[in-house]
Formats: sequence, structure tokens, C-alpha cells
Amino acid sequence: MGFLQFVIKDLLRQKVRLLLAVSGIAVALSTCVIMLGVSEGVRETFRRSYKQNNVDIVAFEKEEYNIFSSLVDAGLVEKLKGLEEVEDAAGALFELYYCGKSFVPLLGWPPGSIFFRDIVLIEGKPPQSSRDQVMIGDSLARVTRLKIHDTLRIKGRAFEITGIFKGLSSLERSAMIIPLDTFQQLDAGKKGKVVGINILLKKPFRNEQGTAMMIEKIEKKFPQLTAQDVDVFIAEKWSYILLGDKLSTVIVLVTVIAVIFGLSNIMLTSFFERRKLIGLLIAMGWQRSDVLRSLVCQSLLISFAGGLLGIPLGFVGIEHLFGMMEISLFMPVWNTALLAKIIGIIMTSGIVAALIPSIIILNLNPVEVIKSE
Amino acid sequence: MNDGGSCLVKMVDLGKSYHQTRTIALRGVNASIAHGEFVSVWGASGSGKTTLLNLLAGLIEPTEGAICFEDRPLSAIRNKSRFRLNNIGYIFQDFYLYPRFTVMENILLPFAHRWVVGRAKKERALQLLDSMNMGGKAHRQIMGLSTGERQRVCIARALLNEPLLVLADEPTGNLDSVTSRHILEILKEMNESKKTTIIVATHDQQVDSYATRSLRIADGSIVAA
Repeated sequence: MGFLQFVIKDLLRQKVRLLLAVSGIAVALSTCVIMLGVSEGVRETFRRSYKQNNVDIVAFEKEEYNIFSSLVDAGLVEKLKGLEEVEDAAGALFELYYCGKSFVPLLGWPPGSIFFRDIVLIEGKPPQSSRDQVMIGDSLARVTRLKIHDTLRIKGRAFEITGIFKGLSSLERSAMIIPLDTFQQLDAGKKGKVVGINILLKKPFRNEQGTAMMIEKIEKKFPQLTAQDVDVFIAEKWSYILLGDKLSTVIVLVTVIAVIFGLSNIMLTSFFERRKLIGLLIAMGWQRSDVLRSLVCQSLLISFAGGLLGIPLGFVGIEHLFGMMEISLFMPVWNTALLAKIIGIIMTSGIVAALIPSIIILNLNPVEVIKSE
Repeated sequence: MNDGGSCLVKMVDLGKSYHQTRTIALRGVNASIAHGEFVSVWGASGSGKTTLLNLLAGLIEPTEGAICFEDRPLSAIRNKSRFRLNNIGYIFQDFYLYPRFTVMENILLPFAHRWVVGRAKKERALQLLDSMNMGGKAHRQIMGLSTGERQRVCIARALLNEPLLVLADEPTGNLDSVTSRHILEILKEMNESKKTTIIVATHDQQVDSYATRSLRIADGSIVAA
């Protein structure tokens, strides 16, 4: 009988308790999987929206960015295009619009601009400038069963559907895209305005140094603008606006603490039940470090078993959750980084939960515990 | 490893008191035990027998005097756990076996901290079981054994590491007289065939007939040797 066999066999002596503990941890970890998956999905959705167009810098109203209220002069787009380091630039308008099924993104894009570069048209053609034409995402088309040449009412006006497209992010796949100038006419307050400006740099400047230099140059030349690297912009602005990141972090932290307390309680109960036998092991020649190792191993095995159940449970839960929504702006994302986070949570919980009994073991007097009743 | 006759354990002015309960468990104990001896430590309950064994095993520290194990002061040994694993076999009155484990697994427990327990240890465990007429019960659960069989498992566990010194604390305390005799015969056999040094703490006078020497202990002091 080797160490692992001892650890596993000792663990299996209270099978029902073990099953309950693993189930509890599995449910808690599935919550972590769901929260982290959704949070990562939100981040990834926006990252794709910007990255697919190879945007390097985002410029917006000085220190006041809010996607629903910030506005800058659309004329700045042409001025930015005029800079020698800039390859292209485009401004857009954005609004969450209720389409009768759900809130969907209503985007105002200048026809022929960089925004259209990576859009894959499934059917039809993009909307024309100054026309009441709209292009809709494939998710929205599927749910609403709208087709090319159908009419869609937006803000009291009838728009002809000219195209159905497949966007890279779930946000775009549920979106309606109309020409920017038409959008500006729909809302008097948005005439000649855009929410922000996406800027693409020429190849020699598409690096960390070039981007930093251009941010400085843009802010100096256009004091009414704040310019940010696209990754910084996504991380700071979007996660702040949506609160998703922070909310999920709080929920994950609370869940992890609950797992640690629960597991710690189990380890402590298990330790007190076996105090005499642990004293005996020390009397027979085990070192305290050997006992600690066995305890940490058991704690880790329980949390990993919880993970083995909890991770698939989280996947099923999130699929079910998103399956219930007809139109989903965000889709969960699963990647190795997320898996690493979950494994990190499992390992931390396992190790921390074994800490309290470990402290007791360090001060354990084998003679006293063997003799105790 | 036993060379017979030379000193294995030497106790010099050995004393142990417990400050919390203000009791003196042992005082002024001077004794030597040679390799291959079978010594019974006889005394009434509370006379200090178990304290003496615990001191010899390095499980507790003396408050006075010293113990030398093969001429080396026990206090100088930093890793007492490994010292016990390599030199001491401890037999308890209450068995202390893992109830959910098999006989074989219980015997291998002292070495279960190793990732892999070598084949040699398993073979040794089987030999020990054979020598105690338990060869066919290696994979039986502890729950299904009689008290005598359980004590034999304890003895096998204590002898697995081929210790220089076996300490037995009331090994017959929970057994009937027939089973007690059988257990003592096993210990005597180990002592004679392997020259294993055995110290048995007991208040069972029957042990004396198996021992080569007896130490009488009363109120923490050796009164007769």
C-alpha cells in the first residue's frame, strides 16, 4: 500500500459524506464556471468587435466616455484620416433598441468604412448611404424570421432589409446596422456626431511604441479627444460600463470562500475523527509533514473531484441559460485561460481548506491523543 | 543487527514530571538493557510503565537525566519519527488498527507515507503473518478478526521494520489467558530467533515467565531488577 492508496482508502471510509461534500463543491464550482464564462464572453465579444477590424486606437469625448451618451464631432474623423500615420478611421453610433423580442444593438456605420471589412454577408448587400436600409445579423434574422426585402420599423420609420450578415461577435450577430447618416437623422441630438472613432494605423506604427506615440499625438492635436489603445479601452471602459467583470469576480470570490469553509469543515471533522490514528501514525514513524501531506492530498482530491463534476455541470448550466434566451448579446467563452482559472480555484480551495487541521497537527502530541478517550 | 550482550539502551537518572498535573511519573531511573534481552517492566497502573516506554520511543522528552540508544543520546536525535521508523516497534494494548483497512494494509501502515512500498516490505509482512499462523488472512478486513488476531496484526506491524527494540505496552491487557499466552509465545519466539530486544510493560505476572529479566516499578522508581 503506497501513499496515494492510503490517502484514497482513508478518504473513502465515509462514502456518503464524501459524496455530499463533492456534490456541494461541484455545484459551487459550476457557479464559478458560469460566472467566469459569461464574464469572459462579454469581454471577448467586445474584443472581437474591435479586433476584427484591426483597430489600434479608440478616440472618444475627453474623459467622458459613455457609449449611450458620449458624442464627438463626426468631422474629426476626416481630420484624423489626414494624419500621415493613420491608414483609416471611422466613427459610429450605437444604441440599444427594443425590436419587439429583445433589446438589440442598433449600429450606425458609414457605408464602405472599415467596420464592414470583416462582416461576412450571407445574403444581399450592405445598406446605402442616406437610405432607410438596414442589414441584420444572422442570429436576429433567425429569431425574427425576417428576410431580405422585408420591412423593419426602426424609430417610427420603415427600413428595407438589404442584407443578412454573420458577425464575428455575438453582439454583432444580433445587431441591426443602418447607414451612419441615416442614424444621425433619426435622432436630432446625434446630428453630425459619433460615439467614438476607431483608428487604424499604418503598418510601421502598428506596435506598442507606435501606438503610444500616436495616442500622445492625437490627444495633443485634438484636445477635445481622449485616445486609448484598444485593449486598454476594452478592459477599462466596457467592463466598467457593464459591471459584468466586477460582479462575476465578487460572486466567484464568495463562492470560493464558501467552498473553502465547507471543505475546511469536512477536513476538520475528518481529522478529529481520526486523531488517535494520526497520533498512532506519528508514533509509528510518520513525520508530521507526512500527515500534513496526506491531509492536503485528501483535500485536493475532494476539490478536484468536485471540479470534475462541477466543470461539465457549469457547461450544461450555461448552455441551458443561453438556450433560454431568444437573442443573446453575449456568448460564453471557454478557453485554456478560463480552465487554468478554475484549476487555480480548485487548488487554492484544496490547500487553504487543509490549513486549519494542519496547524492542529503541528501541535499534536501523539501520546496525548493515543491515550485520550 | 543484534549482536547480543552489548548495551542497547541506557537510562541515566531518568525522570519525567508533568507540570500541568504536578505529577512525577518517573524519577531517578538507572537501567541498562542489552541487545537481545526480553525485559518485563512490571508495576501497577499509574506506576510509570507507559511513561518509560514513551520516553524510550522518543515520543516524549525526559525532564531529568538522559537515555542513550546504542551509546547515542536520544536527545541528540533530531528526527525522532525516522528514529522510531528505523529502530523501534511499538505494540499498543488497544491495537489501534485502521478498521476499514485489510490486515496487510494495516501492517504496511508505518511505510504508507512512501509513494511506493517496496516488494521486500510486502514479502516481510507475509512472512510475519505466516509465522503467526495468519498467512491466509492478509487480505481480510480487520473488523472480521478476533481480538487475539488483531493483537497479532499489531505485533506484525511493529516487527515489519525489523526493529532493534520492540516496546509493548500491556500487549495482553485486553486478551484472555489462552490468547495472552499465545501472544507472549510469539514475542518470545521473535526474541529468541531474531535476537530482537523486547521490553514489555505489564501488570500481568504471567509475562515474567517469558522474560529474561524483570524490572519492578513503583511510584515512578525502579524498586527491583
